[in-house]
Amino acid sequence: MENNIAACCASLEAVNYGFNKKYKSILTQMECSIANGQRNKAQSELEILMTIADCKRALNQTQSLLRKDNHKLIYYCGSWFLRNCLKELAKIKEESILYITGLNFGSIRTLDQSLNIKHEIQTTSYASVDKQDNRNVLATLNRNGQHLNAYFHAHPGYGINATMPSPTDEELQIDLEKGGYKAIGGIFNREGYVRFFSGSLEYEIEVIGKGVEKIDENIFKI
Amino acid sequence: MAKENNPEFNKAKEPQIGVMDMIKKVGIQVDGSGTAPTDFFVVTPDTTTQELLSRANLSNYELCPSSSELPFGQNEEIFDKVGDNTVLYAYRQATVGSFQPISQQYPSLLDQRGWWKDGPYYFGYFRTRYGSFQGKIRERTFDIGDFFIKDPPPVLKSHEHWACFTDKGDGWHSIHFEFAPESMSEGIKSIESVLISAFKQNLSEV
Repeated sequence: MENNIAACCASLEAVNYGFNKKYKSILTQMECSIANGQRNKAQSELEILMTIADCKRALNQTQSLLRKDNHKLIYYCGSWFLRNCLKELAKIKEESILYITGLNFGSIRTLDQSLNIKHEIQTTSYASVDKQDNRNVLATLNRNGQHLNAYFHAHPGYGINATMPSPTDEELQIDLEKGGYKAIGGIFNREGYVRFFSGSLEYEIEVIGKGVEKIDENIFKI
Repeated sequence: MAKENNPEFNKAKEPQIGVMDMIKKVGIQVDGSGTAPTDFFVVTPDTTTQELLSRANLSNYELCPSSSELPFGQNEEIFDKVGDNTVLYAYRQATVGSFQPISQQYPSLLDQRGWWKDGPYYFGYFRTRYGSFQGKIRERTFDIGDFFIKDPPPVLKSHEHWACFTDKGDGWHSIHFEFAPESMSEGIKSIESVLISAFKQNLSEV
């Protein structure tokens, strides 16, 4: 398996080299076209450059995926921390969002610190974070070399099914993964069920400590 | 032929627009994701925020010039606002839940006071605790409209704003605003305030 990945990376590197050569040659041609006042030619060359740039970016992302991210992520979380998060989310009847960070060791991540964030809208069935505070919290995480590892919120209703992600929840998760976040979602209900979910991110979650029962692969009862 | 008359010479003298004047490259940092800034997004003079985010596969994100500055507008052209080889910052507002609440529409003062429309005019009453006074507003295309009051109370004649009321016949007076109101409701509110102020002034003089 690892040999196959190495061979793929080498092939992609060769393609990348070809793209770089082509990019430089078209850039030179475009400079000539501009110098000669050939506006239409320069325009079409610019479009080719932008296409090459897009291809290069896709290539880099693929290489990055092959090289680094071929391991399933494992999230570790303490039962005490989960109980505290449930308390925090159940404090008010409106929905609220908790950002969660922790430590990262390669493909192992911990969920051990919740971050307070202001909300823009909070109703019993919807919540959105304040945009300015969102920027501040994420920039602070970045400055401290930490990452958003998860985000929790609570749903009204009873039973395990009340913790199913809504289309809004799924859309957020997909957008976060597009942005490169390795963050999973966690949905609680007031009975103490919690379901973890992701879009295409492969992960396992382990809850360490007493008082939390594993119901299913990603579902727990506090 | 003199050099100045040679078209080739003149062409060479014209300032050339270099390719680097037409394109810039910017990176995009997604704060808190733990990933390094992506590179190689080409920005041209007509690149908008939305287009750049869409190319970066970050359509629902907002884009900021730095982590401490306010975001660009979605349709804002950013070429002149970014430097070459600079890093921009992308943020996704977290939204969760089943139903996004529809912002509650409060009835405007125009509705609260029961004004109705007939042709180009709105008719209704300026209502104060001292009484209600018939009014009309002529709708206009490019501004809020012209405001009128019928038979304004005599107390208004001793008020500092009486000069803003012009007799138009049949008891109707047009009302001039020093600063045009931004809505019909704001206009109604201003007139009611002047009426209340005139009555209060009259009571204090008694």
